[in-house]
Amino acid sequence: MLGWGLGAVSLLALTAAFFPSLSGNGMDALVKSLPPELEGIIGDVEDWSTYPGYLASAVFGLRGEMLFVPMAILLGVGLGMGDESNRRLYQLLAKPVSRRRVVFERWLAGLVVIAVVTGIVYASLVVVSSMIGEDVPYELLNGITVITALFTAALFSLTYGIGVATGRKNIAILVPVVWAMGSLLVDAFKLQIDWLKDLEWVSLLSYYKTADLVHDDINLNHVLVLSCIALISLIVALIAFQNRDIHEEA
Amino acid sequence: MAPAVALPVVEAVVEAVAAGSASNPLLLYLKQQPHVEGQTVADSIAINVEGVSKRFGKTLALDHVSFQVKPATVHGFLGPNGAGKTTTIKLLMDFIRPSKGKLEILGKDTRANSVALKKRIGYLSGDFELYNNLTGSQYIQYMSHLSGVKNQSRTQELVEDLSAVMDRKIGLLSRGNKQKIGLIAALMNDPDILILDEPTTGLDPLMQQKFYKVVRDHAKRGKTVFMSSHILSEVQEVCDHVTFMKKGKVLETVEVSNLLAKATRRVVLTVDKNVTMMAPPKVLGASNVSHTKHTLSFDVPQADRKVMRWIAMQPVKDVTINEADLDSVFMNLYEDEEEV
Repeated sequence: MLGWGLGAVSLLALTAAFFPSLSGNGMDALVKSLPPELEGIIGDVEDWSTYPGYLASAVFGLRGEMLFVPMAILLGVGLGMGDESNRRLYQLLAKPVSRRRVVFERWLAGLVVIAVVTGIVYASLVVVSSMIGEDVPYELLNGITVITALFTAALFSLTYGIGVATGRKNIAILVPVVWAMGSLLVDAFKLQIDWLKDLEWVSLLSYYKTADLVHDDINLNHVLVLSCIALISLIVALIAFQNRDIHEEA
Repeated sequence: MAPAVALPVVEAVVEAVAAGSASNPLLLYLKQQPHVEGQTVADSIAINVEGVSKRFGKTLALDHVSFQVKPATVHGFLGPNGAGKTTTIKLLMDFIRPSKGKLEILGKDTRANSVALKKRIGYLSGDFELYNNLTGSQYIQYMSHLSGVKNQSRTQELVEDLSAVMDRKIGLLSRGNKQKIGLIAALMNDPDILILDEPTTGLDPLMQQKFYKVVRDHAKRGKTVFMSSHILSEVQEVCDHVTFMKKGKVLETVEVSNLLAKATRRVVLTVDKNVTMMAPPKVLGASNVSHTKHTLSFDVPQADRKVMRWIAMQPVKDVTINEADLDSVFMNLYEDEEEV
């Protein structure tokens, strides 16, 4: 997970560091070359010509999803299923620790990891912005960091919740992967296919719109939806784990 | 502080007072005393398994299993692979839940009192896994924290007794050394009940002997050990009682010493060439009689004077009488059940 965090920091910071070489004529050419249909995924390409727009769209828009979706799923599976599939859970539950405590504390540990990784990404972008001579867009960075952390926490909690509740690693991986892929497809094609617009609310990615933060404040409905996904997943995990058998082969 | 009074005594007094037959002030005093914490009628039974069934999908892993384990004894749980030993232990440890029946440890329901009971239980499985990135010391420290064990003197004692390697990463240790750490983790809280699931799997004979000593010492200190195994000699060496399991059912629970006393002895008589021997007479109660060119073998209930006198009258060159062991008893039991 540490490696993943370092990878995320490096990739996002490096992408941000490329802004000076892309700004001006280079960026104009790039923006003109991109089809407007890509807006569904990366936001308004016109925003790329400004540093805040570039950060929100080019740095986080697509790369954020690519980095934080796998991280959330891996973290959820690792914390939710790792000890059960490795048979270490027996030794842990042989001690006077309640199942609810195990589920809750591991969920909290997941949130701490997400907070640390997103915090490091925030700090590195502040440093990179200063290094390339751009004003640090603190307000935008705060918003992006909060919504990224929430989005990752929701997907982590979903994976973790399914894994802990069912004790089945394949289901815990399959459900969030299918949802994330489906969401990506809905987001990518909603501008071309009318009926997909009606399904936008089902898309997980529609609650993670960093590009919108260039012009707007954080959407509180998005915060609410992501928080609800995280909390409901935790509650389901707490109840189901209390009542199920520990599996021999998770 | 109230004296420690066994609950059955108090209950007997209460009944007597209620019946109007007790006017002794001592008995009345006893009635007024609060129950000593943790002491119940069921203290005469350390583990109680009653009518327990467990179904995994369509497979019935346990079928109305019932047995009891007495306190301060080493109780073996014996059966071939797939008999349901591990399933029963997992039920006792509340890792899995019964489809039917009741499981109690120290008089308390294992599910409703899972966390409280685990303060008094030590558990080790033969195929357990530890955190390979931690050293033995770090793992034991973590387990102490979870168990709420503050006094490390017992842990230190065990580390020294078992010569456990504590400063290397667990992933680098041999199976035997990992097992030592697992055993220390199971015994660190000086548990009233020690539950072991095939604990000597993968251990060399020397380590097995060390392990048996730790188990026997634990029982000598008034603690209860419940230990599953498919190794008959192991059960014979350390257990006072044994419950035989087969295909998810309990065959029998017996005292090991009684079982061995009742078991047959195998007599093997060796004779010279060209010497013909008669089969043992019926009065000896011999069974499983077999001949080779030079030997006559048979089982007798006891190698008593009657048997010895008959042997003395035979033209034998050599005599071997094998002491009964649990293997043959188990095989008899197993075969009988097969026939049923």
